[in-house]
Amino acid sequence: MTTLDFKGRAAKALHDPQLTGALARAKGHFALGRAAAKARTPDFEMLRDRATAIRRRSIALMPDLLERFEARATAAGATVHWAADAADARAIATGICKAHGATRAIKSKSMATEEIELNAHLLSHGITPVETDLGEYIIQLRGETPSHIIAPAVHLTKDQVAETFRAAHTDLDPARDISERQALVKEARVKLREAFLAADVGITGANILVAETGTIVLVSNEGNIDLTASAPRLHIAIAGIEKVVESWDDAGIVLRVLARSATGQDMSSYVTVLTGPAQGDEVGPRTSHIILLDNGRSTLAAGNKAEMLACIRCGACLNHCPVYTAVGGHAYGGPYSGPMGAVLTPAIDGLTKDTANLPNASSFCGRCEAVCPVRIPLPMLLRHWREDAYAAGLPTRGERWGLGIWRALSTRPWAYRLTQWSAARGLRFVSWWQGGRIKRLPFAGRGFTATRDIAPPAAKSFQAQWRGRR
Amino acid sequence: MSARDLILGRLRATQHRLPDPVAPYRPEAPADLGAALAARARAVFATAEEITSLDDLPAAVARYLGPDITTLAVAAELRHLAWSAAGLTPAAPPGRAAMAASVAPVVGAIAETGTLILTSRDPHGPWPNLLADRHIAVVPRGLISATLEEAVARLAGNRLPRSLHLATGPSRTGDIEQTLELGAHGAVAVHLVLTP
Amino acid sequence: MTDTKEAALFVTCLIDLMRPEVGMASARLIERAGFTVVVPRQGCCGQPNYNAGDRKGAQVLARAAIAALEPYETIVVPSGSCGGMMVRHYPTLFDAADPWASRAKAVASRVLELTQFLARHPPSAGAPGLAGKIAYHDSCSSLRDLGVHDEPRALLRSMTKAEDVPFAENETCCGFGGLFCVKYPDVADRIAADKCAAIIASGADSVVSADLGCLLNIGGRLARMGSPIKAVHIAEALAGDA
Repeated sequence: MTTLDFKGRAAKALHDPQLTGALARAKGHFALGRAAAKARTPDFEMLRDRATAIRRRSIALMPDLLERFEARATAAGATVHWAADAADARAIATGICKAHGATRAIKSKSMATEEIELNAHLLSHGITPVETDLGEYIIQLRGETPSHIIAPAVHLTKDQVAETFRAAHTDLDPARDISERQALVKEARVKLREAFLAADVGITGANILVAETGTIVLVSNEGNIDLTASAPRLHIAIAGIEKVVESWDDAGIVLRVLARSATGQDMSSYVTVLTGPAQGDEVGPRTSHIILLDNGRSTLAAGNKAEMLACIRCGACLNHCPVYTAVGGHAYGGPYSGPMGAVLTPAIDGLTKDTANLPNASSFCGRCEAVCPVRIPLPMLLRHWREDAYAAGLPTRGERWGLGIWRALSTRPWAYRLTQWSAARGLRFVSWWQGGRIKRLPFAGRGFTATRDIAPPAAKSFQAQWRGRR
Repeated sequence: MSARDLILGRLRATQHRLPDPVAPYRPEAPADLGAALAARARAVFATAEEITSLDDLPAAVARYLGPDITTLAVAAELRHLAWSAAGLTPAAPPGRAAMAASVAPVVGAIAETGTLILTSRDPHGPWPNLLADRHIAVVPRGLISATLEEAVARLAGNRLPRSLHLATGPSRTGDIEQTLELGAHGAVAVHLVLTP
Repeated sequence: MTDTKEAALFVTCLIDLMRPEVGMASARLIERAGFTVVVPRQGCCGQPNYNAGDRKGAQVLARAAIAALEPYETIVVPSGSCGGMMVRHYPTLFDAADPWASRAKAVASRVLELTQFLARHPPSAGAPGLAGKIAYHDSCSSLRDLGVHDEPRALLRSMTKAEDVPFAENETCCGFGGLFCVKYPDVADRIAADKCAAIIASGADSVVSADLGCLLNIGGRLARMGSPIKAVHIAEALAGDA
């Protein structure tokens, strides 16, 4: 884990021109895609309303739905496991691999497995995981973590990818031309095809758990999930407990808003529908395990941030967030980034001085809530974290004192008047001193005036002027 | 206490407001499901055509593939057709191996989204789409559903198969510089042939 | 409508201190709409504390504001941010059992952001408003907390000769965010830089908004960059002061 805190990571990101370019490109791409999908879908807002209600119902009914899912999945021949935390989930996963003598794993992109840091654990148990989502494969080769929940390598250019492939695929002709994206995609296709067909175990996440049939639903655009779930003899799915919905009617609506909000597609290129293991003559793994992961979710369900569990991981809040698009995903210090990550990370890692930065680093512009397909009130959930942080005494002493003093002054008319009067005097003096504009302020004003020139205030406040007028 | 009891116990400790059940989404079905399917598929980089008799399939496939590809994997139920008359050499689906092109019937399709459905229950499983560079999907008109929900209900029967693979257009990725590239892992090209 | 049409004007701390002329322009517009302006003794609406996680402190501040404003049928706030605090957040700021909850809701239901008020009560003709090309910046709170979008544009069309020019990503935050730009200045500055670049690229002569916070941020940064684009509050733009 990194030693920098959020501010340090953000500063580093802001000074990386290559990253800035990548983020600008991605921002436009995703926001335009969603806007286009919305524009061509007359029922989009109605679908959002229904998806919102479906996900809220799923939270309210979660224990019942999970039991139903477990019963139906078990009846279909799958084995369902429950993991209270990351360590549990990792141990269950490696235990299954060992029991089946599996040493070569292929994986489809799964934020749950990023969350529990499964890959390092697998390696330490002699199981080699190969990520198969192209973006995830690239960052795995680079030893990085995903910087976006649906576009893990969004921070990289094609030249960086080419460099990475040259370093990793040493068996290929060093003189080959991989300067174009198409060539890179093709090279990964060939390399990963070998891995798919050689693997003993496929490890996936889950986008939706359908309680009525005990089914796992996954989405991808590359088709790598279908291969991961069908090519090896053993399949393990790791799913956050909040992924459960009641019925296929519910799942259908969630899929419709998910694809449109994530990539601007009406339907993801591949939707993989998995119910139990292969039976009889069926193609596919003969053994199927599902690990239901809690890792802080049931605690989240009990508090005032329960609505976060409605999240369907589309990434729209990242793509429309001015903070995310300025600093990128790595600044958030965990697998989840942007507004959803700022709510989830403190829940998973605990609220500390550093993780408390995440809910604080928001201008509360509200765009995340405006684009969220399931209308999660993200700014309000961030605010609740700020309240928790404030109650825990995490803000700096300066901030707490400042707020206390402001409260005391602002509720006493004479004190408020005196404050405004002296602030105006002070700022006018500074402005005069600095040549007619406020160019440098100390303390809290330092950051603001580092890049701004502010015209000085009038000598008399509005309230003073108004009293004078009457 | 088991993790299961712990998790369920924690979840049951909080009462949440329960919204009313949500009405299922049932968009108005287009009059011609086949035409809608083809139009939607074309919108996501697939190609589509319709033939009036299954006997015309080899000729249609030959036209689609062009002169460069003459050998292709043909699903068992289509092998009886006159492939050599169309200048093609049919091969048995090779199982889990790469193929240049593959022709196989799908078990369903979704008009709303231009989606093809493959299943683990077929002897060739999902491989015609996932392991062939070109996937030629034979879509009997009678198997086209209006929506995903309808398709799943139709295919569920007593038990859903191990896997349903809903493929909408060719495999694609935007993972490098958010620029669309086709053929990441699955089919690079998808061609629908609607049949009676 | 009552005979004595009275409107309370809550100018916000930032206007009170930094740009009292915005308050004066707002008052004149409200008067031109046929209302008598009353300025109750004002403090802070509580938003800084509320956004910093100090809910108790915010309640203290809100109680003072509620007590000062509740005698009035119509309350006008020339800021989407403070207006949004009152309209959107006062109703849930107090526990349901707290007697202040109903008072907060009552006040919230009577608060109008300035352009909302003027759209309902068009001012009589007066001095010509701002001219030239303007980039209209929706403040996030106006746009998303209050749903204000068409009102300022319609007012600018009917009351000024200004030409509204489009600019890229005009729904994106300018990076002010109150204490956000104090606590995370580098991040806020990147967001502001992008906003300023979009405004400069639009060819506008001035940037107009209904929130002074955004304007100090955007205008201050434009000034530092040496741009001649003026940052003008909608009240001044409409009242013809700018």
